[in-house]
Amino acid sequence: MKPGTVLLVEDDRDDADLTLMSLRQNAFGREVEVVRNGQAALDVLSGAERHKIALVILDLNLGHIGGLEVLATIRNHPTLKDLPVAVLTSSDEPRDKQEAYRLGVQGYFLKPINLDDFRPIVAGLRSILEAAKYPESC
Amino acid sequence: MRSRPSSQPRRTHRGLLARLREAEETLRAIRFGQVDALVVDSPDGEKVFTLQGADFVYRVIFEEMGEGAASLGLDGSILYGNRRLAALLGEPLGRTIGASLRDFLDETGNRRLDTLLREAADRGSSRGELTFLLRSGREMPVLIALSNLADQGIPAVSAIVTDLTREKERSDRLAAANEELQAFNYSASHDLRSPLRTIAGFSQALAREDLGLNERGKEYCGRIVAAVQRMSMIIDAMLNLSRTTLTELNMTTVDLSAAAREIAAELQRTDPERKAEFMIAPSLHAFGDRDLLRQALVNLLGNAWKFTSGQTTARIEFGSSRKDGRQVFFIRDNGVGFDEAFADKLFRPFQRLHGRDEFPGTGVGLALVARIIRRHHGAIWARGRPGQGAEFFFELPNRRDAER
Repeated sequence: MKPGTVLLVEDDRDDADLTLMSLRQNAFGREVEVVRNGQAALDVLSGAERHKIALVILDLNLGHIGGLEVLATIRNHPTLKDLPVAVLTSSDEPRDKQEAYRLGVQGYFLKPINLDDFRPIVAGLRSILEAAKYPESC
Repeated sequence: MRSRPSSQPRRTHRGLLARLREAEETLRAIRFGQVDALVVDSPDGEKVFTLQGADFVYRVIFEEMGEGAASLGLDGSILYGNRRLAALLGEPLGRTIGASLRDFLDETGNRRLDTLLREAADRGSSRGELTFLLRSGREMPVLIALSNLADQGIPAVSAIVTDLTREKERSDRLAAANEELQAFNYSASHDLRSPLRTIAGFSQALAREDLGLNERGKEYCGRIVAAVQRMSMIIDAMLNLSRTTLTELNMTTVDLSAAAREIAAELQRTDPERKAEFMIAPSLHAFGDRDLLRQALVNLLGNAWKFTSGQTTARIEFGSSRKDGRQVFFIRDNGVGFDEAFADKLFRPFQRLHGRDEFPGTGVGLALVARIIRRHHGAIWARGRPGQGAEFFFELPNRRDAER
């Protein structure tokens, strides 16, 4: 795993492939590691290479350990608590959005039907990564 | 020297004063319980009305009424109760009188009763919900309304007890149904959208990447994506519709004119080339949920905007008039109008009066407006003729009626 890798937590294979495709199409330019559930995400984040992860892209509907739970675990972890996290979900329930922001997410994006709508999302992810480089400025 | 004509009115005046004094004395006597009967002249001769008789009527009402009724001592003891109260408590009447309401309440219930008794003593009356614990083991939710009798010189309160079991069951069922609907919405928004994303995403990928698809193939992919987007819009609209039913209303005074001006500007921004005149009456206010009323205006003005798209100059008016003393808001346009024979279809979801190719949309917009107005206990109706524009009217209860 290269330093600066993005961890994509997505249980739906189609969604994962479409997201990867769109990131590539919009020249995201980062290595992306895909895991399929919350536990696998936590394993990577507590493993030897955890310091190489620069951003987590998190689905919310993940089965046993949901996205919000993963997010809460990250925010309560002594060394991971400042890791940037962006939610990419199909839920536009105000409840989910409020809870995600309450737990301290850097971005909340809706999975688009049209792949063209990935462009602003990729731009958003880039600016989250940029902002994380200068934590004092915010 | 006194003249004769003037003494007549003076005598009449004295007579009237005497009768007034007599009437006042009678009233005072009735008030202080010194009168047992009144004799009244009637065309059928003299009639005797005894106050005991009047009392008897109230006694019958008290005994036969469908609510539990009692007089309570200030400590909650039942001084006297009717049969319905005994039935509610599941005790013979003989055992109810002399018992205490406290015997049918748990600790929390007793504290609530204390509060209600204190409130009744301080303010004259109080009401609140309690749960009776009956000897049978059953719990019975009740509404209790207390009135202080101290004004009549009696150190007691009267109590009316209403059984809320059915209301509670009904509201529990409603809450369960709402919860189910909410769960369904949640699942619909996730589970229906997910395969749509796959269909649209891979269709786009097929057309985009170097997979050797010819122009016709690419066009078909484009149609698939367009259809999926339409379906996604319908899902959004359906969700919006059911959320409108489920969300709680946050009632406040809403400046409809300001909202309409903003919406008009937004509409104009979507197509700056279009010639449209918006005539929005100033300072129209309504009492309701800000977000929902705004949504209703978005849909009504959006509707007018859409159906005037064929006019060289669209004219869209938002104003109000008075009908039977009530304020009626209207949105009027010079668009294609509609046939009033189908007016009842206008506000039903997924009904369209115009072809989708002609005017795009999900067929949910006006249904949503109708639901919003109905949730406010208002009314909505429409008038129109093909080719002659449309008028939508709505009415909302004013603040006083809404709060009642």
